Amino acid sequence: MDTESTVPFTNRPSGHWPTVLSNRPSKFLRPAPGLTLIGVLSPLIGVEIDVIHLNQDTTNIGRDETSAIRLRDQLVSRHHARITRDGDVFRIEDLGSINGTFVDGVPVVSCQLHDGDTVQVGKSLYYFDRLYERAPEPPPVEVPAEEWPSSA
Amino acid sequence: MTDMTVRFWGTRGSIPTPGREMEKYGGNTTCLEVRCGETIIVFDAGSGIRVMGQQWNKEFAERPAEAALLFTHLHWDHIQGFPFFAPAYDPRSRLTVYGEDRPGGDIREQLSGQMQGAYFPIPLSFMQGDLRFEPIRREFEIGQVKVRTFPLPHPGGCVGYRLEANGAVFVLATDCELDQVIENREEILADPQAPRRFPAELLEAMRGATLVVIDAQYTDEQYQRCAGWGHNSLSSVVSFCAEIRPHILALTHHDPQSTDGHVTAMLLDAIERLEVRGVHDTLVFAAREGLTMKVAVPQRPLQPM
Repeated sequence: MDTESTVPFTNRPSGHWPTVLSNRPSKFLRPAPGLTLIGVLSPLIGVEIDVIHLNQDTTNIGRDETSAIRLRDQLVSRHHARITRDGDVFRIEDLGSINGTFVDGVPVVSCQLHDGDTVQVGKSLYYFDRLYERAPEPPPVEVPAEEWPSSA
Repeated sequence: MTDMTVRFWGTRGSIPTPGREMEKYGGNTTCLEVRCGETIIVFDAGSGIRVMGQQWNKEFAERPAEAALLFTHLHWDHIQGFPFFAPAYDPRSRLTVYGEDRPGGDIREQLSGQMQGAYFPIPLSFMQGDLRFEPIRREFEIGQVKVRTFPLPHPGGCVGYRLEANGAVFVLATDCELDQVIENREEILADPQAPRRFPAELLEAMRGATLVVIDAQYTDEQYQRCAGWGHNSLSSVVSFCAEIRPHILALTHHDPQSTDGHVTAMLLDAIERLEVRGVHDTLVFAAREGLTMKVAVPQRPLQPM
């Protein structure tokens, strides 16, 4: 992306044609600092009622206690499915589960997820969407007093 | 036993259609990849093959890619991605390209035509992979997969493919207008939703399939304006599916004008009309880019609770 095009026009040198396009976050532009794109699985119906936040590059779903998303459903395999994030693209992959992973009712080996897809694992049915979430604040960096620039 | 899987890399018909409203089903033109063990069979080189090539560059970074590339026909939306298929330029790649001989030349000459002169700056001879070009035969084998071909009604002709391996049967019938060959055309002109009588050889070629991927470009309303352009109406697809009853039916070759909402509406319409006809055991879905599935009797989702 042309980095200049994302600079707010108020910062551009005089004489340049003003750019209306700003660096406001959208699903097609790099988000402003402090925001990060995450996937969300909202339960529609099922044994699980918690919203799943897909805020890692890899999220494992299964019955096993090591799964990032642990579903307490005997019809869910121990290692059932994995959702990966690559930029703003989310993919779901079945891990050889017994009862399958479904996107919009279709049993998939793997599938890119789009806003509005339904995802079913075991007896739980979710609605997938992407949204921006405020990124965790980075820990404050302590700067030794002698490194502060002199105001002189 | 080795599973057969299919991945859709391009499902759009006629011309690539980028845009947010085409995001779910995708805007790339036809390209499918079927795998069965070590055997890789690619159908058509629409713009979707460029994306597949990128994926292959990662997967085959340490070993040569070996695959068969089968063309259904050479209309532009089925060949335009070929010059951008990066693995073909890799000297380690081994590709066997199958296509029909035409009056304009064999498959190599036809593909070369879009990569010369004013059309494209890099000629086919710059592809450093081991490319072999073969004419299509009625039946042949690729690895452990049996391939059978059959003609489809489409302007200029199109080849349908039936693959069989380990009990899985995959049929690709993109770019076809079945209403051009039905035996009760007069009846259908009067009532477009009436059941068709299809030629026995077409039914036989696609019967018993696990997964049928079929051209479903037009709604009935669109078809009124586009009859003779070589693509199916939804009524024709519904009628055909009711005859052959595959385990899975994938609608493909989505019209460039069809947004995600349109395609989903067509899908729901097809499901409803098949239900009315008593077809309850076929999983029907609209093919979408990036989806990989097994060519197998589909699992049913559990009843959510």
